[in-house]
Amino acid sequence: MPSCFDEINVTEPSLKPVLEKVSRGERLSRNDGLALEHSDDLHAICGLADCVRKRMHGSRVGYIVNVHVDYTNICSSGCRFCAFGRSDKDDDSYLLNSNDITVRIPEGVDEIHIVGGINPDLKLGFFTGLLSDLRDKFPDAVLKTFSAVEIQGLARRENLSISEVLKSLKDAGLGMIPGGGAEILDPEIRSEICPDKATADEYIDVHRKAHELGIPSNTTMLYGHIEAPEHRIDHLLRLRDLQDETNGIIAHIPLPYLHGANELSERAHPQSGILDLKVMAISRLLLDNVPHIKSYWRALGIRMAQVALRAGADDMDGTIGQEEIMHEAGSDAPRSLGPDHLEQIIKDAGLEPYRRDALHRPIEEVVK
Amino acid sequence: MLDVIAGKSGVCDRLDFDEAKYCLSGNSDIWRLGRLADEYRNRLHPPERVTYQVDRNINYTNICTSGCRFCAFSRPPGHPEGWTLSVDELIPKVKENLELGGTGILLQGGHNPDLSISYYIDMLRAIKARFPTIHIHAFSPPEIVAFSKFFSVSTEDVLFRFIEAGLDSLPGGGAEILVEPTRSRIAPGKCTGEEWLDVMRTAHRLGLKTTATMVIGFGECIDERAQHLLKLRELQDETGGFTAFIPWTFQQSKTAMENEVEPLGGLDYLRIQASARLILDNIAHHQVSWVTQGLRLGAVALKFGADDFSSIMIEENVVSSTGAGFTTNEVEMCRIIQASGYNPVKRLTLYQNILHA
Ligand code: SF4
Ligand code: SF4
Repeated sequence: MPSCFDEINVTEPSLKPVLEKVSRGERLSRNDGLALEHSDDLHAICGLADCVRKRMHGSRVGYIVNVHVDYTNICSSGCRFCAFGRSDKDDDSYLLNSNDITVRIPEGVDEIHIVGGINPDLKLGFFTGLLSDLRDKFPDAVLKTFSAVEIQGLARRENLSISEVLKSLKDAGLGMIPGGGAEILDPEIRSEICPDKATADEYIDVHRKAHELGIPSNTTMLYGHIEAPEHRIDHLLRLRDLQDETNGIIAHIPLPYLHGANELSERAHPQSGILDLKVMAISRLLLDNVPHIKSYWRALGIRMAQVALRAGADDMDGTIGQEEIMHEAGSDAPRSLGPDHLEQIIKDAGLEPYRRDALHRPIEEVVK
Repeated sequence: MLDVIAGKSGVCDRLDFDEAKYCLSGNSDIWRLGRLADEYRNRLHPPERVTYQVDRNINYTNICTSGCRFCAFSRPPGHPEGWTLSVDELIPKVKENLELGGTGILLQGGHNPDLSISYYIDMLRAIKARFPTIHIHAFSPPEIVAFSKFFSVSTEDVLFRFIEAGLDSLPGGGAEILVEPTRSRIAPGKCTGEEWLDVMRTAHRLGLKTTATMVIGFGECIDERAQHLLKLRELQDETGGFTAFIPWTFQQSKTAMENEVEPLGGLDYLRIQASARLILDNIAHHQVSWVTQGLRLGAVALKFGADDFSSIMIEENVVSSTGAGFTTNEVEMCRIIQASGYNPVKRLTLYQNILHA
């Protein structure tokens, strides 16, 4: 019986050593990553990532019953790819209090994902109060809340260390940190696309501190705007280094930059889906120490998200009640999907769906 | 089996029914299948070239007696939302299209029993009189069959008179799934698969070039998909009249079948695109359907056997009434083709300006 890897036919000589390393389970170098980035051989790259996914996860693909709530769109950051953030003077700016948020959350969700803008008026008490209310009302759901950027902003406003803020949040119920805010972890690119956001070092540092306190996290990468292939590879390698150090990253989520109603659209152009699949595959291949790669259908669209399940991803994210940030930036995907529909998409890819919790542990009673 | 197919996808040694089914089924590895289709495409066409067209899709009426269950566009005769464009309303649309860089129009509509044959003849003549260079790609086979019934003339006569009035080629729409039992289940009022093929055969004999299409996702089985493609291949062997093939997946939203079948995913789309490239070895061009799949996934199809990005489609009522209308402009489309690693080349409706390998 030939192995999955033997079936891959590499046309470009530069990919041969990569194929050999991956099939032996060896770590890829920066140069290997660049060889993948510069290759046009989509079939081999995705086929290779598909074999790695299979080696790690068999035919199982996870999804979660979850809800997303954006508690405020008031943001002082002004990221150029963002169509969501507002000034507090704008008519359509908003801030949801704990009560507004809890009424938006349906019963029976396994994860509550809450993020928002960098709202200068919010103090630590707002966040801890919200978490403890949610913990009381939804004791079974993992509270996956506040990106590294929000946590860093809060620490600065409160003049506290990152660890102090994280400890208070954890005590109030924080279960996990979502991956948002990574964009591209490169100072020059950040100065162009999100000059006022937490720096790359700060992003990494919040995740490191969280892991040290036993708070796991996800990571992301926003690609397809003005970054070069080198930036993407270095971004992934930085995450891989962090993971070697802490082992706290549960899943990595590549996020396509969506061309549309945002300032960056004058400089960044609409992208090909070939890039989506390559980035997904390369993420799987380089991040050998991160257990899960997520195909985030809300940003990729349902069809592309399904294809990505054959390009290295082993997870479809969740049913998602609401998602303001992506929606306004030009995604054409619907706002939520039922579990049956998610399962069907996974099955149609020839894979087996399993319902999981936020930490990607199977929820056994629903697994058929 | 893909090894056998890899050895085969030459021109003389073609895929048989079982091999066609294997490609179309979920058992074949999507990346290996894609690779085979890509290699075959690159043997037929310059690997770096992707063609596209700028044209306008003009729907002249939404009144239709056919009542296809997957259609969100048509209204039955007498319905308050029914409309028909007059020739005077059509002309400015054609003019606008020329001004936007369009070289052709795609003219299609419902089967409206209240229109006479002179409506069509006058329309074709008026367009050609005003814009002699424009290519008129019009009336899919189900319309031709409906006209032949409404006007009690043969399909050949309908085509003959339309050609005289200025018709340049026929679009391959209305094929959906050409075989039974699916066809009668989804489109009981539409022409049969055999009638569809027959109109194409006649058109080709009269010197018209045509395209061919296929829509999957109506709950049809793999056998039917394979048969559909093999029927097209057979007719193409006979006539050589198909210039291009376009497959897509059914967009069910807002149709009567919305809750009946699950929407197909991107893998099904890529699989049909690649399988069709390997099976339909005798149709030169395979187009992506970005209008239904989105530009990003459409671009991926270029790696699955497609060599053409279809057209800008300045107006597309039939698909956009299902809510799946993706729109783009020429600059954006060219950028995406380039970002995918290809060189965009603007073509005419029948690829008249494109050299063949
Ligand atoms: S992406 Fe986040 S941090 Fe940046 S402007 Fe938008 S809401 Fe603010
Ligand atoms: S698909 Fe065409 S023939 Fe069928 S109902 Fe719609 S307009 Fe009429």
